[in-house]
Amino acid sequence: MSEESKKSTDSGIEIKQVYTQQHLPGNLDEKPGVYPFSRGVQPDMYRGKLWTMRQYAGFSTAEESNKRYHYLLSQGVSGLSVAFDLPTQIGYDSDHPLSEGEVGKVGVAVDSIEDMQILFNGIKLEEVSTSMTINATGYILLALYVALAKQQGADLKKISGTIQNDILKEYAARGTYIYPPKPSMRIITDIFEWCSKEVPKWNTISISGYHIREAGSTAVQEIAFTLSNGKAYVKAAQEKGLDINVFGKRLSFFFNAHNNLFEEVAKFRAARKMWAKIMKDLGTTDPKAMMLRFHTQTGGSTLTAQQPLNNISRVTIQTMAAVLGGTQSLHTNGYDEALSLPTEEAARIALRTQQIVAYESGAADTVDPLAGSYFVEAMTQEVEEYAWKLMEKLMQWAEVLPLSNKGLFKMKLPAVLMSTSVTLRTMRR
Amino acid sequence: MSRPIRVLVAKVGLDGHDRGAKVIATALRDAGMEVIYTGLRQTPEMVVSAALQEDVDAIGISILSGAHNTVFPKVITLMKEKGLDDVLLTGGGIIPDEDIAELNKIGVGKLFHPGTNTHEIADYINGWVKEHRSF
Repeated sequence: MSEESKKSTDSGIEIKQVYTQQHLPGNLDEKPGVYPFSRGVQPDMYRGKLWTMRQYAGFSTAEESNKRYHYLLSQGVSGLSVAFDLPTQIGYDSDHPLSEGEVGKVGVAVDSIEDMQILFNGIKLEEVSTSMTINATGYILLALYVALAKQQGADLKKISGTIQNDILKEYAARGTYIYPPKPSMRIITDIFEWCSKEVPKWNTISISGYHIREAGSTAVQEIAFTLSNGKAYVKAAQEKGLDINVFGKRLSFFFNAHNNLFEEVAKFRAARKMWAKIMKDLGTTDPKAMMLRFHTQTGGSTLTAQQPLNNISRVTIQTMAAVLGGTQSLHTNGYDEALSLPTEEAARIALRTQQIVAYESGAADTVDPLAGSYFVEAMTQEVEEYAWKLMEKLMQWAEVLPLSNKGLFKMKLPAVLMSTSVTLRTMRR
Repeated sequence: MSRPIRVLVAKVGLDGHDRGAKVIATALRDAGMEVIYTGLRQTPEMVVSAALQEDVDAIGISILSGAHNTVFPKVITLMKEKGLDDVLLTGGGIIPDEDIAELNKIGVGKLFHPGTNTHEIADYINGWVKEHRSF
């Protein structure tokens, strides 16, 4: 085969012209819902319950956001997803000089319990699950949320939701950190401990590969970095004396879905298998604490400002990848997001894309439909092998904590993102 | 010009999305320019002060948080105050066309959307500097 006709994924996995039985990995006799969960965390997956269609949204003021939440709830949505503005995410009041121009821009501003009261006015916190994209100030927003729940007379044992609370990827990719890694890890593991006693149904962290991918990583790097971060949190919690079988059940993940359908499906399958093994090796005995449950968002950086309607096709492929990969919840991007915040029409098409995949494509009708495919099984194995190798290398360099300190993560990223940008340009022609 | 073009690439405000800024910084460097990258969370004052001290020919601001209508006017006002009115202020990010038109009116140069070919940006800066700063 000439150099010219060779094909490979962004992660550098070479794709053969044809896959046959000889490329199948040895033991494929796995069932969904049991260790190591490659085929999904539930035995019935979407036959039992479809993934949660959870669209991330935040509006300028608490009043506006509250109106939106009431509208969404009236449309039968059971989960809210709150976007906060950057001052709230980084711990500045709305009237701080550094907040100028940012207040209410990428989400809602919450400065006080009064804002929280307005944000959830007329909504019983005991009856909804609320996902909050909040990290460095996660403990403050969670405290406000719980305080509001108490004011409403809610049973704290019943309130449910998620805070993102993943500080390690903030240093690597997203940028809303306040404190150095060590004290930040202390806050996070304090949250694990407090929640396990006071709000046991709360997902205490959403360990995120999404932003690492958006910052320019490959699919393999996305899971290798994310699972390494996950391992760092687990170890920190264990050092504090917390029970892995208890806090382990409340860990959740957040991944990206890009355009290479088969590599993405392989990525999700491999990630589940790897996390189950990691948790088992760290001493978990309860299978529920070995399950990798995850939210997916379609890839913002794959959208182009040029010919924006083409993005609808991209989002559809990415939706298929998330669903065939067994996601627990999904946000689909608006086709115009490379140009501005999504218009109402774009947001509606994004949600309809999920519904078309759910109700018309047949992708949700059976569990893990691509299992046994020569190509997908071989790819799953290769993604897994590549990711283990990279994780091992990461560990050799340093444990993840000092790694974030030294910025080694960031050194690996620019080269890849440069090549992504070049590839996109070439593809666009 | 007898020396390489000097460009300050800046992130202003609280926006942590720095992939675009880094791609541009790398591309401009590859195009033969001297690039200074400010890092995250800069104020307009810090950016203009750095531009002055580094004697740059152009400032490129990357902004994806929607704060562009606050940030660009502030930077251009400060640039005029400090006598940097012969320096190009350009940039890019998620900035709607109608906002770009308004910002162009107050003296901001071209603003680029995501996905712009990086050669186009380097060519623009090269051309502008040749035309306005030939000394």
